Amino acid sequence: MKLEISSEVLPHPPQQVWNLLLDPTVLSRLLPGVEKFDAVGPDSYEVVVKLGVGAVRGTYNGKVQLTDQQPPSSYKLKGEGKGAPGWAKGEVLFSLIPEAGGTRVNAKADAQIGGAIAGVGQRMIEGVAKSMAREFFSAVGRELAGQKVQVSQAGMGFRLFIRIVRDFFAWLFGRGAGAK
Amino acid sequence: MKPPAFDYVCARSLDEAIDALGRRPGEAKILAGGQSLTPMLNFRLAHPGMLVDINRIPGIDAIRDDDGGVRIGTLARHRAIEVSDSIRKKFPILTAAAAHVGHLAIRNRGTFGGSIAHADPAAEWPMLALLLDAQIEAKGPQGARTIPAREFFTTFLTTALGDAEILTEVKLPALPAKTGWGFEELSRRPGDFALAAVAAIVTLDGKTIKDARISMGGVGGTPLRAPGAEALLRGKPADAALFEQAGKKAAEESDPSNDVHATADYRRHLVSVLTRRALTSAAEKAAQG
Repeated sequence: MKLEISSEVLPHPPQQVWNLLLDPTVLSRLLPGVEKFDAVGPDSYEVVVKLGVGAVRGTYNGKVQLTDQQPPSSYKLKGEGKGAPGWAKGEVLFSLIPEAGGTRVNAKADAQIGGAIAGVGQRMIEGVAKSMAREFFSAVGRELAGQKVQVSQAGMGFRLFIRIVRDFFAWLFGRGAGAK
Repeated sequence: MKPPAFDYVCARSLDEAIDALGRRPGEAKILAGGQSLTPMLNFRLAHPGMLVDINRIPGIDAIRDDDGGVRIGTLARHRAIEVSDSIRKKFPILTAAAAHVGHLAIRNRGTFGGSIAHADPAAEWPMLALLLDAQIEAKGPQGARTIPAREFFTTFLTTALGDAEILTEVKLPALPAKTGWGFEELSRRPGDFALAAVAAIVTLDGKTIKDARISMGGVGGTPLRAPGAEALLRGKPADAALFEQAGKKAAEESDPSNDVHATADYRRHLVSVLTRRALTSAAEKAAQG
């Protein structure tokens, strides 16, 4: 599955957005269903997320890696994860694009999905992924708007973000539901 | 293809079912016809700790006339709707759409309320509930309430219902005189979920469109109305060029996705074509009736 989604223009400079996206404490709050987000190496995390729509819910375990970091303009999140309903692996290229009045974040994902979710949930995976991505971007916007505390450990945050995104996709994949 | 283990409660009344749901909040699921839930269990996409079977609750499957409209009990089977004289007379669009709900075996078992509460964005009943401005009645631990269809569907497979609330009945308000309908759905095989589906009703005053409603299925996280296209139609004379224009507007208002079955662009194209056809058919029927 390939998917490309952009945020609204966030009224903040790219560096500030970058700092937020790479802050694991912020991300674990903004990303849906994150239960665990542990650093296991440089730019590398182990994650557990609980995701789903309706009755289709599952817990996914996985790894996320942040690579190709070009602060404050782009990074790549590579991830893989699996849970009872299926598995997913893929990468997301995040670009922070300076625009008049702020920064637009663009996410370009390329993922493979397998298991029951991929078969039965095919019809809804992309739509669910899209709506999750939109929700995440709007949460990022709200977080920036109300930002009081200086963000720290940008790299960590970034990784977290990547994991989150990955889980996010795993979640999406996991979600489709079945036949009538 | 066996489900994970679950506890089972066979409720004999709505109160008993609500009570059982309330004891396992977020963990219990209602078993009605089971035509979506059972496959989800067997594929192990869903792992509810408990199923609350409502099939033996008496009196919740009735289809009743109500003030020119109709009330459909939550447990009414798709097939009961398909063959109901009252529905054929007042809401023939439901009779026509019923033929698209799965296959006959599914329609014999699957329920109207179950399909609406399951909230599959490509299913027929949710999009028709939205089209017909249905009043969805629910009962829970805090009592009964009525939810307008427009507020009911929130995203994929998700509704405004609380954990311990049961959809009990759906009220379809009477349609005005001189109203016609059109229902158009495209799927690759009969009985499959729609790649895209459009339902429309048009009310005429002479040759002028007094009111029009358009509902789209399979092209977003929920069934969608096309408010821009509806506004475009109101107050204008019904003609082919206008319907074409409304179809394009509805396509803009849809939010389809790519999957193995079809691309988002193709689905958008379908919305445009199906909307034109549904409006044309609705206006013809309105002129006759």
